Amino acid sequence: MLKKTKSYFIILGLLIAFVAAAGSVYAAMDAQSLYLVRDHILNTDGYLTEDELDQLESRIVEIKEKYGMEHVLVVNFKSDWGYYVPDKEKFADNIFIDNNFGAGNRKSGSILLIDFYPPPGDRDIIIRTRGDLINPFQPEVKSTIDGLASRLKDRELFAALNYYLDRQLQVHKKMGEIDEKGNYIKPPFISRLINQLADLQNAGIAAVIALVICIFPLFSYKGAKTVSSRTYEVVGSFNLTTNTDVYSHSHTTSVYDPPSSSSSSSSGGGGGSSGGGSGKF
Amino acid sequence: MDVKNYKCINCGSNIEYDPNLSMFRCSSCASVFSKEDLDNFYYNVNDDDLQESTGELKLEMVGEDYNTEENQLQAYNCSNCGGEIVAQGDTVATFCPYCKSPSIIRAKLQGEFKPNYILPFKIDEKRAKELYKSWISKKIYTPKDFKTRDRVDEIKGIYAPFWLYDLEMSGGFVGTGKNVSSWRSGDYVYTKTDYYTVRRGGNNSYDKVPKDASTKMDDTMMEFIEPFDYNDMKDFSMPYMSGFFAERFDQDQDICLEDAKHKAENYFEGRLRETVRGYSSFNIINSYYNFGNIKASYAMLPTYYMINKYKDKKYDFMINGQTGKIYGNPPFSWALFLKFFFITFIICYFLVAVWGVFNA
Repeated sequence: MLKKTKSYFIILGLLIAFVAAAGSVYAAMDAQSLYLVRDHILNTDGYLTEDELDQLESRIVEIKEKYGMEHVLVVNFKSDWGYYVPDKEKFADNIFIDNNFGAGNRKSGSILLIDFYPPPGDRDIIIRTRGDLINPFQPEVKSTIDGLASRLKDRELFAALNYYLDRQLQVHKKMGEIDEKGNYIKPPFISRLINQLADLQNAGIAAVIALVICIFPLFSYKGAKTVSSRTYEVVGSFNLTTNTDVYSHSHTTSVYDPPSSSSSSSSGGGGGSSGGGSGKF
Repeated sequence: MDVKNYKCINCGSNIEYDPNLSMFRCSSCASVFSKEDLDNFYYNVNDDDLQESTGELKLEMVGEDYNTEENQLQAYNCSNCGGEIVAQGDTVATFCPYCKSPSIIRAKLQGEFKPNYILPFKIDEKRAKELYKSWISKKIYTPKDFKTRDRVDEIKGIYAPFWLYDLEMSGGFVGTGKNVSSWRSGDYVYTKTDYYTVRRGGNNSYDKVPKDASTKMDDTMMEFIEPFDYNDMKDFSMPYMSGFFAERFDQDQDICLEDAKHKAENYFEGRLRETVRGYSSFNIINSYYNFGNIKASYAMLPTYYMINKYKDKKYDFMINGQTGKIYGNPPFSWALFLKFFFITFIICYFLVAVWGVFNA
C-alpha cells in the first residue's frame, strides 16, 4: 500500500516537474528567444546589413527624442526551441513590456513583427501600439500593413521597415513634437495645415469632390426633361388591378475572407491597453 | 393658292397676334382687337368658304411650283403688296419678303390639314430672347463672348404641328425584385439574395400625349421643351397665326401614333413602378400593354426656334412659346471646364486640409 502511494507521488512529482518545465520553456520562448541586434531592432536573422541596421536604429532614436515615441522592429520570431508562437499579438506586447520599451510616462510607442518562417501567403505582419500612439495610429494600421505587405512580397525588407517608420513619422508630425518635460507641443496652425496639404490622400479626395462638382452642371447643360409619368394622365384614371409580390427563392454565396488585415485595439498581456493589427503576405 | 393677310379694321395695315396682350395689334396705328372683334368684322365682310369663323379682306390667287419634288418650293403672291412669296410645301404661315406682311397660306389649312386646336403664343420674341439670355448666362462652360453677345442671329416664332393623342391603356409587367443581405461568420462573408416575383397591372387614361408631326422639327428638342399647358388651348383659328411662321404636318397620325404609344408606355410603366417598393433592386422581365379608344387631334403649338453662330458653327435652341422652357446646344469649352475644375480643386483641397487639421 505504502509502495503504491509512493509510486503515485513519484508520478505526480514527475507530472508537476514536466508542467513546470514546459511552462518555463514557454515563458522563455515568450521573453528570451529573441536577441537584440541594435537597441530597438531584434532578431533580423541576417536579412539586414550592418549599415542598414545603423540607419534604422538612428531613425528610431531620432523619432524617440523628437516625438517621444519608441519603436521596436522584430524580424522573425520562431523560438530557439522550434515552437511557433501561439498568440503572436500577445507575444509582441510581451516583448515590448518585458523589455521596458516605450517612451514617456505612458510608455508610448510601437512594435512591428515580421515573420518570414511560414510559407509565402501565410507570413505574418503584426503591429502593436502602446500609450499615446494607440488612437492616432489606429486609422493608419490597415493601409500600413498593406504597404508593408507589398514591399515584403518583393523581398524589400529594408524598404518596408523604412516605410513603417515613415508612416509613424507622418502620424507623429500631426501629433506634434515634445518639449523637455515630455509634453506635446502642438504645432502652429499653419504648420499643421502645410502637413495636411502635403498629404496626397487629401489631394485625391479634393480631386474627386471637384470632379463631381464640375460634372454636375453637365447633366442639365442642354436642358432637362420635366415631363413626368403623371403629366398627361387623366386625373384619377390610374387603377391598379394587379399587385402581387410572391417570394420565389433565395440564393446564398460565401466568400472566404479572413479578417487578416483587421486592426484592433485590445488589452495586451502584461497590463495596459494596446492597439494595432495584423496581416499576411 | 390663297394667301391671307389680316388687316386692321381701322387703317387697313397688317395686324399681328400679340402674346403679351393675348389680342391682335395693328403694326401701324396700334389699334388692338379681340378675337371676337375680328370674327365679327370679317364675318360681315365676306362669306367664308372654309366655314371658318374668320375671313379675309383680299385674296391673291395662284402661284407657281418651282419644282416637283417632295417639299417642293411654291410661289404665292402677297395679298398686301403683290410681291412673290416663295415657301416650302409644308409652310402654312410666313412673311412677305418685300413688305414683311404676315401671310397665311389658307389653302394649306384645308381638309385633313385643318388643325383642331391652336395654343396661342404666351411670350413674345423680346421675352423669348430675354429668357434665352438668362438661360445661356448660367451655362458655365459656354464661352463668355458667346454668352454676352447682344445679337441673336436668327429667331423665328413657329407654330409647330403636333398630333395629340387621347389614349386608354391597360397592361402591366412581371419583374424580379431582389433583397440582398450580407453577414460574416468566421472567415467567410455570406451574401444572401432573396428573389420575389413582382406583378403589377392596371389601366390608365392619357389626355393629349403630344408628338411633333413635322420631320423638320428635331424630336429631341420638342420633347425637352414639353409640357405645354393645354388649358390655354383654343379651337383652331387662323388669325392666331398672324405674325408667326407655321408648318403643317408631314407625318400623318398613324406614323406618329407608334411614338406616342411608346411615350404612353413609358409613362404607364413609370406609374406602375412607383408601386414597387422595398427591394434592393428591381428589373422588369416582361411587359404587356394594350391600347384602346385612341383619338388623335391635330394642333398647332407655339415654339421659338433660334440660331446663334459662333466661330463659323451654328448653335440652335428651341423655346416653348407658352412656358419659356428652353432646350439647346450651347458651345462647350474644355478650357473653361478645366479652369473651373482647377479652381474648384484648389478650394476643395484647402477645405479638406483645414478639415484634416481640426480632425487630426
